[in-house]
Amino acid sequence: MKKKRLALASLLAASMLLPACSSGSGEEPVNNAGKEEAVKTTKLTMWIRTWDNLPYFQEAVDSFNKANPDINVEIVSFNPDQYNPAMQAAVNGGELPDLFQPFDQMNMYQLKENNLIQPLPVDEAFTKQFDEGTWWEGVTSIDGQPYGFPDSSFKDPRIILYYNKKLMKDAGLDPEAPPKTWNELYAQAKTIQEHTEGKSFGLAQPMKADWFNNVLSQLLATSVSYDNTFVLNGERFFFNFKDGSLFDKDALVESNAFIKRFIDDELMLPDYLLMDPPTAAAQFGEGNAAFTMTGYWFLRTFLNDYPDLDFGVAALPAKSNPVVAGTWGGSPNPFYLSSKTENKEAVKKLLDHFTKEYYPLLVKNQQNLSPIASVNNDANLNISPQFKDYIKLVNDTVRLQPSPLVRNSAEAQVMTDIRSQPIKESLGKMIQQYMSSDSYDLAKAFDQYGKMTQEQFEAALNKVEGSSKDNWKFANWNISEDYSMKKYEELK
Amino acid sequence: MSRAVNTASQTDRTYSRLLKRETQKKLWAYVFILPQTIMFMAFVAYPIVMSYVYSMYEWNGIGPRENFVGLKYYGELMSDHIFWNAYKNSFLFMLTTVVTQLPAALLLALVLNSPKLRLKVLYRTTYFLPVVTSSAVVAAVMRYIFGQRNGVFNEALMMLNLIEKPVPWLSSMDYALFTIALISSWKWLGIKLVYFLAGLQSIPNEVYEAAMIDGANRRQTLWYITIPLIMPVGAVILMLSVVDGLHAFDLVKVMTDGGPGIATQTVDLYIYTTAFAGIPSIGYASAAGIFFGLSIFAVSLLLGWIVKTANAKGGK
Amino acid sequence: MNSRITRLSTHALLILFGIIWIFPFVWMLSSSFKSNREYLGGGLDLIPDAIQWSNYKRAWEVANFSTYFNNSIVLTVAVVAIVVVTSALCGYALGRVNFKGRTLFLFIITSTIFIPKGYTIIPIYMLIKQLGLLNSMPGVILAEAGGAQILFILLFTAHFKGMPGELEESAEIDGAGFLRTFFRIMLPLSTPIIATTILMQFMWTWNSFLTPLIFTLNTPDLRTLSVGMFSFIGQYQSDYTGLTAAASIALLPVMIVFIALQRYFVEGIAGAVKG
Repeated sequence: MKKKRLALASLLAASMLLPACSSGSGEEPVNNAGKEEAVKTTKLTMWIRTWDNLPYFQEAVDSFNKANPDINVEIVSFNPDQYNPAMQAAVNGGELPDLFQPFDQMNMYQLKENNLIQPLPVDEAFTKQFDEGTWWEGVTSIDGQPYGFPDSSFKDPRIILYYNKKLMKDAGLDPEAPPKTWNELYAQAKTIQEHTEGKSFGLAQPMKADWFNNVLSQLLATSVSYDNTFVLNGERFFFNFKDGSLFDKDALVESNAFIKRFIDDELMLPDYLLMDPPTAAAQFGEGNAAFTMTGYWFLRTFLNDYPDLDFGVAALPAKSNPVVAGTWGGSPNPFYLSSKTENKEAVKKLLDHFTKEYYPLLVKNQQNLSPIASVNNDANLNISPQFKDYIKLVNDTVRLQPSPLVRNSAEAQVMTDIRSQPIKESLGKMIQQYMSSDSYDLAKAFDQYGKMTQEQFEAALNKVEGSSKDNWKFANWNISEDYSMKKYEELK
Repeated sequence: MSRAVNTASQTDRTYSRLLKRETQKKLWAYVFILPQTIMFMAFVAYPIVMSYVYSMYEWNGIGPRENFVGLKYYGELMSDHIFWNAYKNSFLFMLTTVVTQLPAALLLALVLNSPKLRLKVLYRTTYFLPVVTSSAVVAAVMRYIFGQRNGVFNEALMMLNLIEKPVPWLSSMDYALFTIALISSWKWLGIKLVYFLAGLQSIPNEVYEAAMIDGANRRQTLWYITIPLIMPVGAVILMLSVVDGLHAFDLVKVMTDGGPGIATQTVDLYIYTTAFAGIPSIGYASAAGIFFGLSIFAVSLLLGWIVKTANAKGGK
Repeated sequence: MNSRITRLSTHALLILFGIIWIFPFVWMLSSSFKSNREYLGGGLDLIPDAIQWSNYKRAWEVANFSTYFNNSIVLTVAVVAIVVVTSALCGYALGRVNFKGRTLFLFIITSTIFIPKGYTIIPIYMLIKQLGLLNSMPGVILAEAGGAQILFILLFTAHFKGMPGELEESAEIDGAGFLRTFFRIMLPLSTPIIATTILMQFMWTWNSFLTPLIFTLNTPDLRTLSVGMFSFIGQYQSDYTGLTAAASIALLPVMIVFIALQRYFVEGIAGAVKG
């Protein structure tokens, strides 16, 4: 009937109109209606892929927006594995946000070449506040100009050891003496598990995430063959800076075998292959395992969500030489500034505000170290003994490593080139198979992987103009010493 | 006489009116299919064509697509043992779901179709419930139900003395794929049940009445009448199930993400990883997708032929 | 007597299997009332130690649930409306008018079932962008509705084809044109198919994830429930009891629609199968 036709038509129309009424359509409504020619509001969008510091950015942004009514900053947060496709779509669509963190498909140099980012609108007085190593070529700066705003200190040990003091005490172990070596960890884990008759397991490890398995085994491997191995941003670069070779597989096989012992001897909390880092952390928090080696960022989770948990933090156990968490300078996930952003004054204000408000929040909440020493050492921030231990741990184990980019920025392209080869089977997945079966030949798999990576490395060196293997060799490199700017000079 | 003439011109007029009506109908038909055609062109045809185009370029999804490589990726695909592992997994997954799900759905439909059974709606709703939930939720719930430590499933099996120690259903390279396939069967059985019910209901009552008059008992009715009559619908359901099974993605992604290792990695998951994880290789992913699509097409054709031959033979 | 035993035992079996069948949901519901500690402990225990309403509160507030809920409703209703209208129109034309190109059209759309789509999302994204509809609800609606309605077209086609020609003829005798025949006579008789389409599309769109995510990247206010639910499981949190509470809430609308329309569901498909 006509009625029905009308009904259908109006339903369709309504469904079109409804959304237009309900949510905004991209243009920020200029402030209070009724005022005369309103003040032009600058809108800045900030895309964040890291969840741990998100609440502090949000708090800082909220206070900034209040203090600056003519500027409106909006944060959009992402699940880490949604971030890459989102950035891909944004670049393709020409709709970059004003501030965004790195994504896998393009490195800083490519972003600059394609005119997608611009230098930060800051002066020397600003940059001088930060710790040495913060303005790092290829990470937060290009040719000496600052391009990336640091979201936290670059001093990042990634994975650390957590131990449950109560369980240790109950089992007769000294709660102030956490295991320092592999054998000690094994022995203590076993003691505790036997003491609790299996109610609490010795060790809880999340093995679902590829990258996690990878990073952990690399960190542990640094203590196996000391001068030969080092961790550098991502799985392809388990590197020897003395002779420029990639990937010491023997050390990696050993570190994985160490973890497998726990599985074989049933000291590992079951369902490890199904656990992601937060779940494993929760299990540790509940006391279902005595030890766990997991992200440093969980320190805060344990402090806040598990007030009854009596725990401590320590460096990862070592086989012989102490574990070294090698790192480059800069910052884990700096913020780049889109080249399309016009109101640079507003951005400068925001960055100043972050320096004053956001960094202290990081430290106060015991989430992470800020890149400004004076903030970290501010005695007014009431921090827990565990965080104090953490700061000490960081100073003990984190070491600046040499960067080929400082010698020649063309090397950044080499890295991107290697990364852009599709990974059919990642190291993390090989490790998973190794952990879940008795017949998997990890050495062989790593060997093939190592050969493939070396080939890709050589091919990239040949392809990229201006790159050279010499840039990857540092004769005066010692993994346990900070590779400061002075050392680059020494080489010349 | 005049009457005869009238009839002739009347016929002429009727005829031309009919013709006009027919043409009008055809015009309206084109108008009616217009919205769907436009949407189809834009959202189905164009992307599919583009995916063939993509498969011949080396492109990471960003910036201009300019590196033409022809059929290079198809060649690489042939020797990629990770792809073939995913291929094998997809087929194993599909076989498991089809073999477990369809007979169960048919059986259940037969039971639920009997006229004397009450509470039909309740049962239908119950068995359909899993279809209505999102895969993410199912995955989160199942991870704990099938977990090795204090998992409900293991606890129940141990209580019934069927196993001694908890079995790592989802983390063993041997069991994981089948466990997820069974969970998938559970989740989607409701839909197949409804399809079968619909098929059963489309069998006219007269057929049953005739059978009863002929003195057939229940078993004979079932075997000689119901089953053969439901074959055509069954064939369609089989085809749909096969295609769905080969496209296993959601559950696998959220439950094990292809793990442990690549033990549960299916082709769609492999393609997704290649296209979105790390630096994407859109060309390679497209090539894999197209190759797989062609495989599925071949399988469907084969199935269709088998069904036709079976029908031809059994149709008597 | 014999048949009574058979009937009772059939019911018993159906109920037993039914319980096992929906056990995961019972478990999910019970988990939504547990604390995270209990949840992680696992086990068969269905009764929570103490009812944690806070999980539901968290689900509603923390994940911006109410906004996401509204967005899901808007998106789903709009998409369902579009799909029903376009499929019905198309199916009618295909089913009742023998126009040129009809067979070709049918063949083409059926053959696309077999081709995998995967990341065809990028061309679709570019298209929506060129229409200027990125980051807006109409854009998401379009992207979501533009997918494959092949199933519904086929259902409608089969259904309309199976309708007796007398209906049309008597309408024509009454002087009704094409449109009127459709709207006044054919469409009202298609309630089961329409209900089926509504139900199925509702389910698909309600739980759809990838499309709403990609098309509302820059505007979190437009996100739907399924996208929002993942905010619970970020990389650094695992509020599983919150997730189950959210999931329980999200289940409600779909279940309501299903229970309301399921009566038509089977008949709708049966009707199409007959035709």
